[in-house]
Amino acid sequence: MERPMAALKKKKSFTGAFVLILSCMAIAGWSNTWDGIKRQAGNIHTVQSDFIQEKHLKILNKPLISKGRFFFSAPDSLRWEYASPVQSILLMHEGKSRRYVIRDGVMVEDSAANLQAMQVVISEITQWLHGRFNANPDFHATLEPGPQVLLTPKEAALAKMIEKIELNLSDQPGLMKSVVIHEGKDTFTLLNFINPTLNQAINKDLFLSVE
Amino acid sequence: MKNLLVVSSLFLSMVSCGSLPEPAVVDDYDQTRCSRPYIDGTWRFVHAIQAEMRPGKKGFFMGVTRISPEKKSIRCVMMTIEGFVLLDATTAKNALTIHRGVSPFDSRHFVQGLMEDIKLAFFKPPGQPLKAGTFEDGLFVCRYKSPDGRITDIVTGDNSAWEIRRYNKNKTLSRSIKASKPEKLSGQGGTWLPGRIEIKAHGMHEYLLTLDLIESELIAEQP
Repeated sequence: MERPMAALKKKKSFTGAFVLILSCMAIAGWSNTWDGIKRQAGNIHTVQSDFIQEKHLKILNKPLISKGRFFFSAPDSLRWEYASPVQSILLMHEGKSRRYVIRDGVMVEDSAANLQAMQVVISEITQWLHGRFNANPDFHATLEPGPQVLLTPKEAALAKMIEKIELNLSDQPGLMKSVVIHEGKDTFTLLNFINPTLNQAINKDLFLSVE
Repeated sequence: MKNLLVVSSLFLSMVSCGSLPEPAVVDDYDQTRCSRPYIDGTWRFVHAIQAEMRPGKKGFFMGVTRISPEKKSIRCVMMTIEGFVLLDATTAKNALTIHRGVSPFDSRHFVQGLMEDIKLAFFKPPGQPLKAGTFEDGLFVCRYKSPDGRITDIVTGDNSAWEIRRYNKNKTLSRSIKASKPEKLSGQGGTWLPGRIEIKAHGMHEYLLTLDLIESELIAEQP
């Protein structure tokens, strides 16, 4: 391989899009109208939930399953933690982002992640928390039956990375059932949220440290 | 004199670390040792990948590969830890197709290099060894020479671990691939698979990729 690391060193703006999706979990989201969503959004302070992630690829006979838990506290604190198959923790707090991966029992910081891009996207979270889907310049947002919020990229560059995102709202106000991120034909990620809870106190240290 | 010592030390260091060592040749040997690193059939692997660009700076990825040594084909998908696809590419009979690539992973130069590393790890060099023998440290080597003059050493010890070393035409070490943490798979012909593979690039643009096996599957269909 000739100079592949030069490529790896470059920024990975796609990671920012992932954070954008995570922020959707904090959408205070059940409603059939934008006004209803915005109204519920104002009541959201924290969200925490287990999740099961299915990665579907044409190359795979069965999806690659990841499991974990996330914590969100308004306005901009997030801990997104995978327990398997690769133990990793993404921390975001007050505009700073870090990712750690556990290898051989040791926590190793990911220095290649484009954390600056994450910080840019975090600034969007407040908008999402308030149900201001149309305030995000990167996506068109439409409210579909289900209820479902459908996000489609405005720019071709982003569409190359993400075709669309489906946010399936729960019957319980303020919660989501699942998120489907369509990257392309035969390639999508399904996030199912399990046992979510709203507005329970979350220790601030969870967003500051991986311990 | 001091400068001479420094230069001499540097030279010896370069020779010991990067030049082509000569084995004590043996004529009668177990030829299966030359095949130890290589799999039969078409396999699908899922790896956790650690990429070290420079000391202490590490990035993490997930990799899914479908490899058929018989057909000389590889399909490779690289993702972020969160599952975003950065690269989906196929190489078959030296034809490279990039199905999906997110910049900078859409660079053909990058993808060709990646595929070359995978080929080196999983495709046995064609033909018969140029020679075989033992190094001073007791390790056994099967040495192959490609038509373009590059040398590939397949180095094995008494256990199931192995190392592949690739030397340039000028006999300097350019790649080393080291397997460790062997996992014997029951129900799949008792195949030994390395739980960890380390791919190291030597020279001007050094890097280290560490691949930890998450899933493996012997599949019937061809890529």
